[in-house]
Amino acid sequence: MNRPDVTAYLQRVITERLGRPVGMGDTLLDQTGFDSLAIVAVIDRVETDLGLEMDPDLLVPETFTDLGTLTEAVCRSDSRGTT
Amino acid sequence: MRLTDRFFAAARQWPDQAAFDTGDRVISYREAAARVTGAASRLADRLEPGDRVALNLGKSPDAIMLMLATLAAGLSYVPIDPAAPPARRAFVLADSGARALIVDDRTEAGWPDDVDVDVRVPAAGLAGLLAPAYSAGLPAADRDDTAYVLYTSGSTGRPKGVVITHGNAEAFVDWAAGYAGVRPGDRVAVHAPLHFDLPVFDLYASLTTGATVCPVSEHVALFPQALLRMLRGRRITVLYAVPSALIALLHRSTLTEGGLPDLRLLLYAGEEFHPAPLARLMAALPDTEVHNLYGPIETNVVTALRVRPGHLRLSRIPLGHAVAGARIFLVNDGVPVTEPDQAGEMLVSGPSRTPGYLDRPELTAASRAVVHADGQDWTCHRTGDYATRDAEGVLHFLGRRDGLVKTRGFRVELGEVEATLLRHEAVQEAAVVAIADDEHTNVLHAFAIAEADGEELRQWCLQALPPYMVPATVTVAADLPRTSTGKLARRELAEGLSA
Repeated sequence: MNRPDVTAYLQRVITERLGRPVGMGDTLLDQTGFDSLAIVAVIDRVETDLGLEMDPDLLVPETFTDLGTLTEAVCRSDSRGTT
Repeated sequence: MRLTDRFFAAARQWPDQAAFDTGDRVISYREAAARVTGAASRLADRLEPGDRVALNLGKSPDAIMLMLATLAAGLSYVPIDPAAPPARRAFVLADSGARALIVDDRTEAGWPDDVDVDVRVPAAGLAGLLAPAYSAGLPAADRDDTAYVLYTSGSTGRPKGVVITHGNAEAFVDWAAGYAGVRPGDRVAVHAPLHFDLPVFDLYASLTTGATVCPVSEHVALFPQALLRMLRGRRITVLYAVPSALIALLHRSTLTEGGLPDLRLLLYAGEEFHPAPLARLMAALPDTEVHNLYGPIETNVVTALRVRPGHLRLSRIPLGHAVAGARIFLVNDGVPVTEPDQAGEMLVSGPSRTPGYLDRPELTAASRAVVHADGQDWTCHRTGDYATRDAEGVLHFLGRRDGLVKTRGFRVELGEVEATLLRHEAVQEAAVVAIADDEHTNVLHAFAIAEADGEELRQWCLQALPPYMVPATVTVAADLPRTSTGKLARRELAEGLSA
């Protein structure tokens, strides 16, 4: 999956979880309902759907700043998994 | 001596010790005492003794200094969950009758302009409120005066405020600081949110003994690996947290690679910690003493047990002995049990038993029972938890009455979630069940007979309830299974989900 596709995919997963749209610039951790359960659910879904495992060092607040930083982390996990 | 007197005494004894260390900001006891004094005198000037002050603040030294300032000013505080939706925050403000509202950058946007309070401090006013001052004539609070009000889930759909007096808080803190041996040089994490009762230990056991308070920011607390880095990086020596958070740390961080060498003491409370994951956690923390604390918010901690290897082979970790001056009766059909190993509901009396719920005399009365023992009457709080006491006097937890569950350490009345669903105009009937979950203790699932879809109803809950009370799923059905008496068959619903 290329980067724009990953972003669109993540946007869809998070929007479904929160039940309302999230935009590119939105701070994910400030969204009501984006709590520890939501984070675990999103990570589990991404790991299953994309067949990758995110490094624990990427599962930190900085990764969830916005869709851009999350896309970056997912793409890094992806390349690690396939090379 | 009130808690704030002890804080000021600690500040005189250890002025150069750090009272707070956030990683970015270190505040000495000298500076903290001056800021608390300044804020206390400014609040006392504008409010009447006994007034309540609502603090809708993220977890920060400023928030904690304002808690101390309200106590030092003869006022009481009501911490409001920054993660709660605006409607619930407004409910708590109104229900508590708070005369002041203090907000920060993150919470400010959630409040309308026309809030009915005498004093409103905007985010931009925080620095001025906390500007240092070096002396102030402050009113002294009484043992029986309210120190703070903590809101918890209420079964009829309304959260209820638990009133905690200075005497209640002191009884707990006196015991806890001694039990944990908190001292200068200790670095005590504040992991739980400030509207919860666990931080009462973190803040007051530390700030009365010269130890350093290290708040775990809300964002860091969401991520086990970030929490691990924080605990290591700031060399935390004492951590008090709920089992769900510790299990997440065990499974979702690199804790097992290197452990936490500085952590001398780990306390847990809020829900059961099953022996298998606890054994794995303790294996990862070979140099850390682990203790199980128990007590509802209405009594604070009333039992404690140092967990030893032998306990890990039992099916449940014992609760331990009564502590903090508490007297615990096991009552069966209105009569205290007398023989070892007989089961009864735990009824708690003692100095940490709180006076009840704010402006809810009917709820307070229902939570009470009087036990006659040793020639006197003991007014007790009914915990709703069942236990036995063995021949050595150790209490063993058996389970809870229906309706109240723990999820991630938070207490949730299923009836409150059901009542929230029923307030939606399209909902005719609703049932909420809790399904046991290894990582989160319980996960909530809702069922409704409604002319709306499940996702719309989940959204409705998100707007009305704190995130931990929102069901993970809402299933809409044409009808729901019933018991022979026509009541909703919650057990059948739960079994359907577990299957």
